[in-house]
Amino acid sequence: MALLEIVGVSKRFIAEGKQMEALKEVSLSIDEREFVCFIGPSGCGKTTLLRIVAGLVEPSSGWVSLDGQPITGPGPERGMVFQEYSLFPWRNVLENVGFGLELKGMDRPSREALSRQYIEMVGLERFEQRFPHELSGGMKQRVAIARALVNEPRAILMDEPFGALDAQTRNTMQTELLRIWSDKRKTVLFVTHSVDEAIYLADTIIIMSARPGRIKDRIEINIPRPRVRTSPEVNGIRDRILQDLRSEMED
Amino acid sequence: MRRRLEGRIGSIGGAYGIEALSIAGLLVIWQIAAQIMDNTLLLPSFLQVVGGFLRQWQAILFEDLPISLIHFFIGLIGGVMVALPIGMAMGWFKVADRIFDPLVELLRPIPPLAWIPFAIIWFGLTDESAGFIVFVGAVFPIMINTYTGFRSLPMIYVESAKVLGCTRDRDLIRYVAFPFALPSIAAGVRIAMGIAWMCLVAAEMFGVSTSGLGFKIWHFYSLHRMDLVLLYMIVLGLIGLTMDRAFRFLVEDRLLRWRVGLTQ
Ligand SMILES: Nc1ncnc2c1ncn2[C@@H]1O[C@H](COP(=O)(O)OP(=O)(O)OP(=O)(O)O)[C@@H](O)[C@H]1O
Ligand SMILES: [Mg+2]
Repeated sequence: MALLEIVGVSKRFIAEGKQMEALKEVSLSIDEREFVCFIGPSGCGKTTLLRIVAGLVEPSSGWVSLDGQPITGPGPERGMVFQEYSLFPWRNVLENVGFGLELKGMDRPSREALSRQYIEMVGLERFEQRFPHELSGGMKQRVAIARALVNEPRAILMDEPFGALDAQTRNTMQTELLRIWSDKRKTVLFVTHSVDEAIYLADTIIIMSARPGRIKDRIEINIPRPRVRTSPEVNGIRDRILQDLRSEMED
Repeated sequence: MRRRLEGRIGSIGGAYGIEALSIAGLLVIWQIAAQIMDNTLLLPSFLQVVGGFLRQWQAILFEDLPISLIHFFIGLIGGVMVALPIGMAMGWFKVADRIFDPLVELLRPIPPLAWIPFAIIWFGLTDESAGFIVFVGAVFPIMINTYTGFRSLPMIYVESAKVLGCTRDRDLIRYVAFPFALPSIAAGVRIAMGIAWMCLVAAEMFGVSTSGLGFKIWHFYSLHRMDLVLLYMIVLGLIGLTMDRAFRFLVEDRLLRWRVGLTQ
């Protein structure tokens, strides 16, 4: 059985008195340890879909289940990394990462020890006393990833986590994310605007179309990692995705 | 040329050379003006005030100041204890906002000193009575700053907390809204301290109390001891300044170090 089942999920918003359909009957099964990337034009409902899985938004119809249990609200078994910076500015790196553990009632020494492991994993051991405003954008997202992973979630939802980073930092972050992923073997739902990023990371790429937002295509990538960003297979998949997206723009 | 001059003056008085000179200048001008006027009632001289201080400092330190501080802290602590829960509830729960907002809007425009007659009727000429006036002055700035601090909490922090397992209102308030609002609350307390200090002097002057720094100003006025009136004025100013600086040092600079990133 799949870990995560998205079944006939639709979401309608009322904006300026008019109803608009952000998602229409999206269905998708995601396996344990699968790395799924979502790509599609702006406004096609990628964030909305992730927020529904996170339990922050309720679908207008349809449902999502994790391990057969329907999702009714947010919970630590589904970690999320937001597109915008979301670290608590009043907590330093160590306290940010330890937040989820603190809520579970773990005592300070154990939670600091565990947090340190994850801070080390994202390569920030020298920065654990820093406050978010003293970190670069890439460092902030690393902390956000560590903060989500320390809760040992079943799935981690990432909404354009590297969108605000420069190309160089972005490549580094992708490589590190893959390293962490192959180490922790978490299920990942990853939203991106970058075709290259999706091909570099994903087992499965979901291409979405806009107005209403629905799944347009699904591509399995079986190229072994680490992938060479310019290999002929990668180029072939890139062409197919770009074609999909282009036909989407013409509609 | 100007730089050389500044450098030289700076080197005379160390880091605060110019500031020290400025104050010294005021004192000298004051002393000369008072000697020229030669009228203790209109303008006591600096040296007379210093003389007053030398005779009066024990009374100030061991009688008047403790009494005034008791009035001050009764009102301020009471203000924090009432304003925090109400402001937090109003900032977090829509219903609480709708319940308290009309009441706050009705009570807040009443100047604190207008409560003096009732303070006397309710509490008599006691410390609590003066504390009550201070309380009325302190409670609203703290309440409003707590409220606005909670209200300006960005949704992203609430949502990140929720996906990390912090979903109950109680936990969200404790772990997210309150720490986020703390700088705003601290600013409210600081404003409240200033207002409370003013209310304190007025309350003591108007006879809500029979002792304290404010009471003594009125007392020495009725004796036409204007040198001592001026002395108590200066003491009030210096203590107000000290408390404000102490608060800034203890709370804003230490506790709220993370805020640097937000205000820059
Ligand atoms: N809370 C809301 N109220 C009203 N409309 C909303 C709300 N949230 C999203 N929408 C609308 O739903 C649609 C999908 O939004 P969503 O943010 O999911 O898109 P997206 O695919 O993530 O876009 P982008 O790539 O630009 O981030 C948009 O048209 C948006 O305006
Ligand atoms: Mg989005």
